[in-house]
Amino acid sequence: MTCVRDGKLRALLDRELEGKERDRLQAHLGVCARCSGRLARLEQQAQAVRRRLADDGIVADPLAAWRQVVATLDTPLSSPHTRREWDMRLVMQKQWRSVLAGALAVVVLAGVFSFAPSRALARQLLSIFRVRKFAVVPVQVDQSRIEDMAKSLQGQVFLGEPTMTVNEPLQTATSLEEASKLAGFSVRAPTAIFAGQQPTITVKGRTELTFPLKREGLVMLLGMADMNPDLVPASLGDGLVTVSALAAAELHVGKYELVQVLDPSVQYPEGLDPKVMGEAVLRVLGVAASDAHRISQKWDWTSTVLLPVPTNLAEFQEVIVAGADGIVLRPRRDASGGQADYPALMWQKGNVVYLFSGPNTSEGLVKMATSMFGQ
Amino acid sequence: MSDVLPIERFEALFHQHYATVYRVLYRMVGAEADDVAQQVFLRLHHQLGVAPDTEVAAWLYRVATNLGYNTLRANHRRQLRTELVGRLDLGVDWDDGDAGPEAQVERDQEHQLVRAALARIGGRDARLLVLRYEGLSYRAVAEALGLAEGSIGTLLARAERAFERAYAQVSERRHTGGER
Repeated sequence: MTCVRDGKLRALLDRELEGKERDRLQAHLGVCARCSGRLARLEQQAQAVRRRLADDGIVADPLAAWRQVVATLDTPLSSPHTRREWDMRLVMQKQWRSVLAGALAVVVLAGVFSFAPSRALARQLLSIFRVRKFAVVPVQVDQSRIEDMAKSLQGQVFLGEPTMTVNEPLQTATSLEEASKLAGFSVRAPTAIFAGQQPTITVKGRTELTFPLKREGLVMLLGMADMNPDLVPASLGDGLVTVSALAAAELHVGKYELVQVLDPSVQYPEGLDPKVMGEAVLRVLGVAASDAHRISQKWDWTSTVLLPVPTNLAEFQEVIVAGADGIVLRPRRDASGGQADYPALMWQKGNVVYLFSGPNTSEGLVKMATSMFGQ
Repeated sequence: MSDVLPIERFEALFHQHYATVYRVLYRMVGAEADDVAQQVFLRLHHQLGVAPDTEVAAWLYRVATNLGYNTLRANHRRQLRTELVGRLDLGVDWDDGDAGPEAQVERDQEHQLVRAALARIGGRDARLLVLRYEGLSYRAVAEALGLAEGSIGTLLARAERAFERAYAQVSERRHTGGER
């Protein structure tokens, strides 16, 4: 093969080349120092541009924007009861999006793929994963790779954007009592931080987030992990993955944010081998093949959400919140000395999953979280 | 007979595409992204025959980046005029939460430089960069900008080179007292 133009090399960097064309070019790069050097320069240039055009801190607020547009049109909403929302994406952006975008995408995947199908439910063609606890697997992966991977997963594994359906109207509460009544579970708040301040409380009824799932994407995922794509069963077609919760409440005070979700679960097409998919996700994230295999085999996939934490970008700490196991994730200050985002504490107690973040230390967050349970 | 998109479809399209359109625009025009994004979607609402959903994304990104680039250029010209009369207005509009005043100013300046560099490299390159760095595939970028998919790699490499050169220039001129 002769040397290629910059455009092909640039496309290779973006994983936009496929099949034989990609293989030929990669083989050529193995023997051509000139092209390898050009590739390195293009990559360096792309990284520089990426740093400058990074979207850290860009937080869209589609709901507010929609209200504005509707006001302009003077047209009523089509339905107050069923609408698409991007709250999860907003939360993702607020919670140090640049660090965790990929990790959260993988959390969804981990939740989706990582557990043994229940035989009892097999006849319903769906399996259900109930989030009961979190556990961390440290990984080493650079930020640009996380972003690339998140985009690949979003674009290839899942078809299009998720759709969120709220089966009951979004409601605002003025007190914890009212929020609890609306949500149907005991909505809590830390006494330490909310004392004397009126939180903004939003309550959602049963909510479902649906991802159209693409078989080819799963095959691609295994390919990215250097695993045998035949491990995706031939009988498995495209399908739907649904993340649902019976109810959720979000509280905001200043920069603090507390999300409480009742009984979140994930449903996905029966037939996926969770251990294989979990192993693939870990390998793609840079976990050594042998470790990925060992972890995937020993893990209790029926209830545990695996959080792959890139240790060069974020720190984690295992903590106890009112007797329940929890995890604090804290982004490392970026190399350029930029503003680090707030730490986030997540834990599960009873059948409620909590996510709490704000301008405080890990210990401070745990102390406030513990106060939610009268301790 | 209605001459606008049915509200249900408009709402679905809005929620499907708003965040991406907003982020693309934010890189170009900062805090004005809200207003420009609203213009984009109002145009969509009044657009007759914007049918298949598969083409809507390309239409939205094309209109958004056109409007965004026009606004970017207008802001850039205004900025230059301001600087010419000796009143350096940083146009602080970047919401950085709790960043301290110094960090805030520094980041504002960085974002000013990025926008100044985008304004200098020409519309096609600027639009290509913001779409690609929002994560659009080569095919989606090509459809939005009316380019051949096979040319995106070449154009992207070229646009990145132009951007880095422009960034170095505006950065140097800013530090030596006035970007032109």
